[in-house]
Amino acid sequence: MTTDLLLMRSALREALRPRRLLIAAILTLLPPAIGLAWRLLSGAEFEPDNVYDSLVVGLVFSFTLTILSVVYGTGVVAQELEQRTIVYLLTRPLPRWRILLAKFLVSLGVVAGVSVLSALLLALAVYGPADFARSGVRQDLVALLWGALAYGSVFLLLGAAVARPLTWGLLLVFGWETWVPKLPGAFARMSIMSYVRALAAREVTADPESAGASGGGNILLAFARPPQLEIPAGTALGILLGISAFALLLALLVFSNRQYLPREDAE
Amino acid sequence: MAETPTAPAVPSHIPPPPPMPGEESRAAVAPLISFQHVSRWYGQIIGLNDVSCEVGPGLTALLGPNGAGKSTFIRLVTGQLRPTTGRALVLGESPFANARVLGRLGYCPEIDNFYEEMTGREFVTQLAAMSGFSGRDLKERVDRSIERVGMSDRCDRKVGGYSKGMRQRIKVAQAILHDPQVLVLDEPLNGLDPVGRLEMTALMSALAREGRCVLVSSHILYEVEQLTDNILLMQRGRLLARGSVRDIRDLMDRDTQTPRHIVLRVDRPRAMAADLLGVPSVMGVRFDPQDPGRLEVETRDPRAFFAALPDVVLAGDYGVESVDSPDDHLESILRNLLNRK
Repeated sequence: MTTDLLLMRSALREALRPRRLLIAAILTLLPPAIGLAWRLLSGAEFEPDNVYDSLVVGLVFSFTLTILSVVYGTGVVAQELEQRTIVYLLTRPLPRWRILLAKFLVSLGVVAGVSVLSALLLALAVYGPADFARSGVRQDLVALLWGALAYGSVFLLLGAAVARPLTWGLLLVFGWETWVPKLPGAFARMSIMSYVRALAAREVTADPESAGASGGGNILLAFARPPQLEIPAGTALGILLGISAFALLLALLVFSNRQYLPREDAE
Repeated sequence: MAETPTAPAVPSHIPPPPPMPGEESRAAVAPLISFQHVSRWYGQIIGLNDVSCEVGPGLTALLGPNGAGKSTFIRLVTGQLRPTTGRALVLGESPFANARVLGRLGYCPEIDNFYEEMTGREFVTQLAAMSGFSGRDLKERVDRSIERVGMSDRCDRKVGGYSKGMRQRIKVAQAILHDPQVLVLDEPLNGLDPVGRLEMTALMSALAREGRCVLVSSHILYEVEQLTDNILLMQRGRLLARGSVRDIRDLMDRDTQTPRHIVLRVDRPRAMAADLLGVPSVMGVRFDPQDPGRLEVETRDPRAFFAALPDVVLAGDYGVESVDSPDDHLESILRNLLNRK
């Protein structure tokens, strides 16, 4: 087995440790569980298109994808610092960027895989096996993959460059990425989520009654409000690729040159 | 078995640092580790303060109390940090993120942190992969290094279930798997039982005899003393002394303010004490009520005392069973040196 594959195998083992696996399982199953419950409780008034669109944007895109990206993306470096094993990475003759890239690819795979699985299960839960093909899940899978890459790269950079990257990452996700797309004018262009949603662009109605939603559904639909700007899919993809490339290259550069001390020693 | 490595060439434009007092001139051997006026700050805190030294092949002990700067020194040698000022060179190059140097440097850290879910073999294998090995070469190196540290029968258990001594052995295994020319061991004897310590010290000595530069940081002074005669003593970020234990002892002897204690076992201690008090270099004599044959002499000039001692013994026809100088022990030397500063 080559060096890089060995690195990725051990990174995968780290990524699938029980605690992280539990988080991933919850984030995977939560949206389809809610969708299924919604369907069962709504009865004849159930509108699968609206419910699916609301949940996929409000939960899978805005929650599963982003939370996992923060945890796994920042964790590539931060976890090594936290558990003080970074010393083993920094004193090896393998170029640092190669070690970081191998670990990043594994984290990217996990995030993308979990997000995609969550969307698929959601579509299955909401539409059922018979109408599964009607769902917009195919578009969503593409958007989720590019979103995982973009977010993963940005959070990898955060993990490599700053102290307490998880805190900053969560602020970015629950602050900036949640609310900037809802601001009027061109502000939405400053959010990664705007471009991710543009790749899965379709109309989401904000009508709770037609979706068979109750009060809780109103809150969820508020998160699913469509972006204010029309962004062509090609532009969105180009922007996401540019963000990914820039953040990833910068992360590799930072990690190759920065001096790291395990958390306790630094304090 | 690994081939005996050849000493690397040191770039000629790098001037040697000035010799410290107490350092006897050694044969000109290219240094494998070279610090030239190295300082390292952590914000406002000085970790190392203008340290200059060279370390060549053989076993060298890095000693000092907590906060002396040993960890900073080691991090600079192992390429984890860059100096704030000065030059820290290993094998003639800066070790920071330097694959050429790190491929010839092995490091056993003091930390007791691992990827706990891995077995010992998996841990060493992963680090071997990160050293650039693969395939059959990787497997052979892993097997060899695990065997050398005596973990062959336990390496397939999870590290999380290891004792401290076993964890220590696995750490050393990953440090030696690539036959490094420079080996840095931070507290390698921690957690080992007496037999383990014997085995580890034997391993360190063997590695040093193979021509490698083995730098050991340890608090276990009596074992360091048996291990090596070369020490680097640090305190408060400065290099307090370097050289052999004897060189440092001689340095202290030149300072006639510090009395030395010499213990004699003789057949007639009281008579001999009276004769010794007539020797100009003797400050005082003490008896041990629990041990009648024991006589402790205090002197400011041990050279003069030892020069005069045979005449005293012959003149009085004393039977001398033993002569010991507790102040020659490393612990005593360190205590004296550290208390001075």
